[in-house]
Amino acid sequence: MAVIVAVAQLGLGLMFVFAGVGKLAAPRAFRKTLGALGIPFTQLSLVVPAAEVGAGVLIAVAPASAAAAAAALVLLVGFAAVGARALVAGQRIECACFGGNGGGILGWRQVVLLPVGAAILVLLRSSDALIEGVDGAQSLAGAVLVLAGFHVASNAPMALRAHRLLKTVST
Amino acid sequence: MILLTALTLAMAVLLLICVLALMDQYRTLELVRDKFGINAQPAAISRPDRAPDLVSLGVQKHPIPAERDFLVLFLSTTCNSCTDVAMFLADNPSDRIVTVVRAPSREEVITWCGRAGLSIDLVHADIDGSVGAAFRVNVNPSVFLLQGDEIVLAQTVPTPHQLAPLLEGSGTTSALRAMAPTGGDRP
Repeated sequence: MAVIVAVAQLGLGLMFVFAGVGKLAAPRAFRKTLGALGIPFTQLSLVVPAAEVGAGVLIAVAPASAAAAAAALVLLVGFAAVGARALVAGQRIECACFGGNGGGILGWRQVVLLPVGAAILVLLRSSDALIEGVDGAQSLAGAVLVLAGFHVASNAPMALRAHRLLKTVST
Repeated sequence: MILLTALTLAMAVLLLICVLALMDQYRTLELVRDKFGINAQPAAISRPDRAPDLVSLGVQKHPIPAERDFLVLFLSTTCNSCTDVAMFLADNPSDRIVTVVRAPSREEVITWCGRAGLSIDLVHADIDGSVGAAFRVNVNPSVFLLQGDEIVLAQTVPTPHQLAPLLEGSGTTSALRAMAPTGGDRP
């Protein structure tokens, strides 16, 4: 049970951090999504990802706290609301949930994520076997580094192509 | 300990931001590459066993010294990429290259060179196609690197960028041979 709780905690925390970091690294894609949704506040392209990173860190460091639950719930409800709105309006909007890493089309996934995320938050609030404090932060840092390494490795061919292109253009 | 852990976490997040931003730049480069067709790679083309005599073909007045690398570039007035290559040559003139332009008439070659900004004096108009036939050229733009009567490189030139290193060869064919596309070093 402790393993399941730890995986759920780190998984949810890492998902928020990755989504926030992806948007911060490539804000153009998320701004496009906000524009397609008719949301004129460009500041949201920074506020939302920063809140996601904050929520992810809180879930890793203080998973049972009210602050972590509130931050995560506000984000999940917001995402579900825009997903539902896109579904009702029949709009096909690129999610940019993970910035330049894509995230599919806005819709059912965001709606379904709300009950799943809420269930994990309830689990974290009621469990005694949580990774907290320094251990939680270290675990999240390790997971983030592994994710960075995975991205470097999986995108190596694209990086080599870009290197060759730059070499060709510079001659 | 708490401070160190917080710092580690912050650095890990920053590293991930940098990695993802770099990947985004690479993706943008791929879009640029596709948009402008820079991904076109030179391809090896067939070539005669020996370099045709440029003097008897009327391309050169004097024989090329055997120890000197020389380029023969084939262009056509009907291909778009040939115009790009011609414009590049106009900006980067070289005495190591002769340009052969295939066209139905000399007037068309003069007009085409004028549009590209290329001096007609640097161009041989291949009206009857004899020079192209002697080199067995069936694709434009293409280039042949000659050393004496030997053809050491024969390839297409999809973009002017691929011509630049050949123009800068300054007599060392080994480096140019290394640049030959797969299968392009020998007939």
